[in-house]
Amino acid sequence: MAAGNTKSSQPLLVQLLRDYRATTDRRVQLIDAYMVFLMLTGILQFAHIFLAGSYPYNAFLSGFSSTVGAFVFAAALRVQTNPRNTPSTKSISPERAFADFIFCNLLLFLAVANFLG
Amino acid sequence: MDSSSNDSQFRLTLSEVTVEVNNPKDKARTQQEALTYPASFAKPLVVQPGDQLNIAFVLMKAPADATEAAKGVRAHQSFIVFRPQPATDAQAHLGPLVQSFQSTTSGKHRVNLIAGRFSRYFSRQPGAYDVELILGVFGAVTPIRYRLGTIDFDFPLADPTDPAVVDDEAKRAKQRALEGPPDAEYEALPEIVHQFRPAEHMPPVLFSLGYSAVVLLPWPILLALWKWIGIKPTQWPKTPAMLVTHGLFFGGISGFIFLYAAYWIKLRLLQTLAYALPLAIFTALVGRVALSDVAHRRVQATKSE
Repeated sequence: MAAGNTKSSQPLLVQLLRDYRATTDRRVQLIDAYMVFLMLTGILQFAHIFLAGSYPYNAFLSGFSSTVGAFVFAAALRVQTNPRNTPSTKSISPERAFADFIFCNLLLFLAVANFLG
Repeated sequence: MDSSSNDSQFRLTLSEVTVEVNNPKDKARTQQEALTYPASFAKPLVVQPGDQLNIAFVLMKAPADATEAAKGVRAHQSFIVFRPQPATDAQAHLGPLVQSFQSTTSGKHRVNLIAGRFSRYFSRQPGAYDVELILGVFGAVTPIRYRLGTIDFDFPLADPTDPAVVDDEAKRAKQRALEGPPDAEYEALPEIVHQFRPAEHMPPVLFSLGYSAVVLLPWPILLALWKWIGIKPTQWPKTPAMLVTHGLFFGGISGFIFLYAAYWIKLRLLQTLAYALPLAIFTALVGRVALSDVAHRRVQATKSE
């Protein structure tokens, strides 16, 4: 039964990936890859706590919050640059959204460097 | 007897110590002793009601390593204590007589005690007194406690029915009642010693270095994903000038990352902000030109479609 489920789910995942590649804007895909990168980095930082403890805690908080913050900004950029969302974000051009994304990230990383210790 | 005062930086001593008992009306009563610190009187001096007790000395301060000659120094706190000995149970409540005295900046100190002024005290408990000098100097943790010796106060015993004595005794009894019985639990507490927090547990250096490499693993994954998604070469800037502008824009952003790294390692916040301001203006200007170029090409491509 379980083997049958695995077999049937494989084509489903492949189909999902194929549809995603076909129907999603390339720029959005680039942002999605960046968000996967941030998520993996955050997971590895969090795993470090269980393996080696949380000391120095401010360094962990800085690193982890930088990945979380960057993920949120990337999600905002994805919303604003996705052509499917154009009706709701018509007043914001993708270039303007990218400039906002850069500005917010620079502020975030300044705060992170300040808290890093 | 604790008659020396040392600390890690300097040493305090007394020189030219003289103790004199004289009576302006009876020169024959003059007794004088020259002492060498920290020695005491060889034999007790005798003080009577009409006498004056004069004590003079110079307080000297010298570096502990004896690199400089000793020089006179003022005692910032100076007391002379007359402690009755032996005190009978009936007389114990009198307690010691403590007097402060003045000093000069040159280190010369002088005590002039006109015995008659303290007749009310000494006549209630005539007899032998231990005399001690207590001198405190800023910077010296331990004060000088110099026991001069024994002085016999040969005073006529006060009449207990004398109204002045009765009045004085009433005042003292009232004071004792206010103070209450001596507190047996009052004692010096143990010295407070700073307790250092135990060192935090740190992973081995090799583990930290290895995990740093592990945390960098998402980077090749990101690059691989971007390569898989594909970046069209046609999206690159058309003219060399725009290429340079785009390069400067990304250079400005990279400059911020390097600036933050420098802030983390050595710079202070205001220094960082001073560098960040011109960099921000530069990045904003070239970024505006570069992103306008991107927008222009995007609109052109939409029109051509």
